[in-house]
Amino acid sequence: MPNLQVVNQVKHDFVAYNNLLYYVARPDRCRNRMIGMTNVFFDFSEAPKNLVNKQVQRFREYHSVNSRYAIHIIVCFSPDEVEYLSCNRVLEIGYFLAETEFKDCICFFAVHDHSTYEGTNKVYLHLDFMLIPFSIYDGRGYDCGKAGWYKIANDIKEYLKKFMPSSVISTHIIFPGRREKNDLFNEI
Amino acid sequence: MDNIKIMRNMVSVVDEKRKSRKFPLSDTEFVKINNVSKQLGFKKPRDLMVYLCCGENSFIEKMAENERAHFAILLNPLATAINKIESGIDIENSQKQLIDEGKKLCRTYKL
Repeated sequence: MPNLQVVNQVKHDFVAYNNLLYYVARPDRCRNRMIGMTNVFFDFSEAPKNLVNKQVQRFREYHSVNSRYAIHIIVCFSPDEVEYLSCNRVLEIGYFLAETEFKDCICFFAVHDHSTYEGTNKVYLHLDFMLIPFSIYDGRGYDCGKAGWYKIANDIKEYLKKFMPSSVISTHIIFPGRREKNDLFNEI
Repeated sequence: MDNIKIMRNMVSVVDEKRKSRKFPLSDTEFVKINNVSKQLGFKKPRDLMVYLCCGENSFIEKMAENERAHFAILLNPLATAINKIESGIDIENSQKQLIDEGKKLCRTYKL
């Protein structure tokens, strides 16, 4: 089952913001440098903070944006689902998510391999997603709320049906602060 | 023409950087995309982006701060298309988008 985790909302803290950028692009988990981004120019030979940060800052100043900096989302794919998905496909899901749900926003995402971290021989893939929640065109803030996250989870589920039987897919959403035993907020 | 000369100098620097990483496209795909970039007057797809985004570029530096940010907004569809092509995702449509948006941009700014 893919879990959609709304992990964190990084406020106006430049260090936290950079940490999130580095976490998403970290080379030890990021398979074959599977990194994707929309609405931002990125060169692998440069550090993310030099390119992504600079461009985000430029838009913030241009539109006088005073909203929060970034949202961290993780979509976790179980071994059952990974049987039907390649890394490239997971990256494609990232582009789908960015271009349909967050079309105007700057998105930065990567495919992480968590197989060794989970301690099993099975393959776990995570799509780590960083969202800068304002429109680059008019500076309007983006806040989708819980209902919005449900819609997004549903859209991912629908998209996954192209690649695997429905019986394999079920979606859970996890919100920040609910990371305990009963953290599965609701099943869709 | 001066702008083009500056760009060519930058391209050689960028090419050196690119040698250090693996390009995830097949040869034929790479040739196709190269052709598209040449139609726009650029040696390689990424050169257009580098040319336009680099802060040391005289063309960019002449712009007022507001105009520069507006210019960056125009670049975004190009950025997304190039990122997708480099990742090998939806290449056909991304190429088409790259051509359309690139031509529009070059016409607007008389590049």
